[in-house]
Amino acid sequence: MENMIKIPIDNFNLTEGLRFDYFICSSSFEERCLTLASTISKELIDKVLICHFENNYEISDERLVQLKELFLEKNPKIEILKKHQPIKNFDVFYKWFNSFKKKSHIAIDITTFTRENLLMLLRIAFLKKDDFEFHLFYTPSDHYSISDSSKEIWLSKGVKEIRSVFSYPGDFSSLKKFLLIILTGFEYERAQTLIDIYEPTKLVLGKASKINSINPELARINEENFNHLQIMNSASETFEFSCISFEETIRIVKKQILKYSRDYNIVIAPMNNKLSSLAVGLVAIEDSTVQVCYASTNQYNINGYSSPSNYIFHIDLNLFFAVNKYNF
Amino acid sequence: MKNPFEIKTPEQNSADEIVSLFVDVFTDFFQVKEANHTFINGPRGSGKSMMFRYILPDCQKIVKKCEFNELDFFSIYIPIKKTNINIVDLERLENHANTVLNEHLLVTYVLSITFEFIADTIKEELNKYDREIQNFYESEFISLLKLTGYQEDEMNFKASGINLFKQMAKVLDKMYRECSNYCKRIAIQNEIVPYNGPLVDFIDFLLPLFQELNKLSFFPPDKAFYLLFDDAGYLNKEQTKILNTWVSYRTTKDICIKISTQHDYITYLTSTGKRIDSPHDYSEINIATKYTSSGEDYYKRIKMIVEKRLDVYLRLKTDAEDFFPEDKDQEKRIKEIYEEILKNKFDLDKRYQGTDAARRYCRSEFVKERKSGRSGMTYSYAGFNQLVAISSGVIRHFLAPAQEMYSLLLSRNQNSSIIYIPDNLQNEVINNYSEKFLTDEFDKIFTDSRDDVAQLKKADKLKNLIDSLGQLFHAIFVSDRAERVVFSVALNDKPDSELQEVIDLGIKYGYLYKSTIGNKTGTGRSSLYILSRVLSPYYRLNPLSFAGYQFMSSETLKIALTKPKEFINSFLRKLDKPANETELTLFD
Repeated sequence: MENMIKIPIDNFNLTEGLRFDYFICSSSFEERCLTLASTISKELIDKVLICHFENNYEISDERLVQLKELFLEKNPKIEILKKHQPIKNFDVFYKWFNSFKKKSHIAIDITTFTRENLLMLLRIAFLKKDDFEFHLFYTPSDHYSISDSSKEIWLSKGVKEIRSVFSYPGDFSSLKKFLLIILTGFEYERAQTLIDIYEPTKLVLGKASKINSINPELARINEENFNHLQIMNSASETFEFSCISFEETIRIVKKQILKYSRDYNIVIAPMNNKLSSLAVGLVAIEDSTVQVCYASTNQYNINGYSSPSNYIFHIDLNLFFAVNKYNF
Repeated sequence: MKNPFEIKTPEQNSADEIVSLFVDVFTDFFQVKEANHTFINGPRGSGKSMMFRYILPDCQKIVKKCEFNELDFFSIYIPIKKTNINIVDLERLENHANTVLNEHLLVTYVLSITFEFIADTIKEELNKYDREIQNFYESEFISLLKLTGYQEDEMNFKASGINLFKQMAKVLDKMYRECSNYCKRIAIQNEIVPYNGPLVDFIDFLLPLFQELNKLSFFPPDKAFYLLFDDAGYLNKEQTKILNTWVSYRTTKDICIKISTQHDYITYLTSTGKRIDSPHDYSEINIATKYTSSGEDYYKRIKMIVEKRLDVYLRLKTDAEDFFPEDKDQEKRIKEIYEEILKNKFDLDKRYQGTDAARRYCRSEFVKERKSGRSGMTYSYAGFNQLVAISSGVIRHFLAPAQEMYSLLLSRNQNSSIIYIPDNLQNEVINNYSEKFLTDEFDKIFTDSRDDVAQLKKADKLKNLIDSLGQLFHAIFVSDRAERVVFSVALNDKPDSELQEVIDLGIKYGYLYKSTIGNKTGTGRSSLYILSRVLSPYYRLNPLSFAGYQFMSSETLKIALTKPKEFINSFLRKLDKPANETELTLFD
């Protein structure tokens, strides 16, 4: 985990001398959107950009107000994002970076960006890696769906739309068969919907490994859900990935790609946490034949969903690019 | 252990498997095999892809016991997946040679699949025709390719028949990918960069190639190629317009286009803004409408499908009715009630009346008995009969819960062999399925509508309408009316635009089906709107037996949109009075 550091919230210290010209975050119905914003010293930040979806939940609007208050002295810019127009959002992000002064240090709190927006930001970060220094921050959840009993755990319901993530289209041959790799989370019903709609020729299901599980009860529920998904798709193959070490997940996903890329067009659906989604994005940046897809959700569990943990991960993205030779 | 009800994609099945599993539906859907353009519309899981798979040459060769060139037609399967031809990045083409580039992508996509498909289907047998294929390759394929500006060294390619087909597929795939990658590049850069690659279209490239292919002696002579576009609703708007333009060309002598959709086809406009129409340009099949109007055929089909699957996957020869048994206690008590009614209503002169009444009322009386009792038990929806009726003409509505039942039983039984599904498990799964059908779809409608206040109001009204109908039909079911199984509303006048829009939304999401019946005066036909029987468990309705319909005015039905309580109460007051109703056949 050489490119990722775990920092406890009650003793939040960054590398000495590290300051940010820009701090980018996203509002959300999740309390976690406030964690880094309320922890980081405002003296380390120059300008602040807060992303907020149009027509949002009331609770998200409230969190936006809280975020604005946290950064009041910085006069934060609010960027209103479109829900179902990813290209418009991509253009908004791209425009920011074109307007930023070169060699700036940019902090992005990826915790509550949608996976689609996170992946598009990652793509731009890769394209602009020679112009800026990117630092990603992620606050994991402590536990999920806090207002429900664990038996009925749910984070979101239904799949509204499935689309390829803009800037991750893959390079598909019309002559190859279609393989779908899903990095599953708790929401096995959404994974099943994805499978039903995509109808892949081959299916590979990834399960978060027990070692990284938040607690044993959740691990048991996850196991049960995963087994059910497997029985529903008896011809599928399986593998385990990490939702803590994104670099470990990169290695695992690359192994899967290597196994199948000769005969299959590969689509990957990251449906677990942001770190494993980040891993999928980095794999797809390195291997442009792979497509990444996004299943937008119908309804989030705004009353529960998650509560923040007591630590934050810090990823030096440029260091990762340099160490892993992302210079293509 | 294999789940016999697993829903597989057609390409996951071999020709032998398909032929052994397929239940012939072409007496109902004869247009699919006819030499014309056809749209086949049906909800997901209604059997469209299976139909396509069955008419592919490898299956037809087994069925007809003949050679490829003796088939009635040679069909080619063109799957339109969400992942391949329609990617978000192409939306950037909006103002940049959109039609030309999308047509090039569609033509090269279809042709590369076609050539690969031919190689995979006819296989080594193609090598018997080496010289003929080499001649086609040089004189037709390469000549046409050169006209597009394509220049590569590998054009002087000499190989066996099968490898020549694979080579042509490769060349076209390369053209497809080059253009596709160009589109992706300009999407990220968001600036116009000239496209220098070759460009092909339907009229000057695809059609002449198929005309020349048809002259090859291993294809059925003078018979059109059938291009089977599966799930064409996944094409983007521009690609859909291009496909419609191909349909408008009327090339059915050489190419017949068969398009399957999930009622989600984006537009019927062509690239030039004209509209294609049925029956002028194409014939049309609506699978759900067909099956909701012919329940007996549907029951037989599902029975055959289930029994074939059990035999093929589990080597289990059993009746579908035995594999999905009813709740025995419930059926025993219903039978007793049946006998009681029969006895009480017996009339020597009108013997049928007693049987008719017993059949009509036994389930209603049973539910009433349960309701008034203190047992806390509810009506069970177990049993093959009921599960078929609940599936409402959509095969997937049967297979999906059956798959769930089987997998749950398997996990609870620790993988021991299964010879039937217990009735309580059937009931549990089908109740959940019914609820999910309502709540998940409505979640989707509400989310779809959240950015649009007018649409949101429409979604609210639809929820009220469905709830009102569900509750009204339940109240009728447990009433003392002559006709107690009601699943539809017949309107005796034309709905206004507000009501019509809400009804249309209900049809789009599969809660309602549309049909017609003769009106009360016998001077024309009235619109009939049938509630999906998938909702029977949710609203505690009887999915079986004869079903009547409730005549009402549009004005009355409109009350349900905004004041569901008022709507239901107005009917509850009338329920003891004789209703003006007519009996219909099993599926309305």
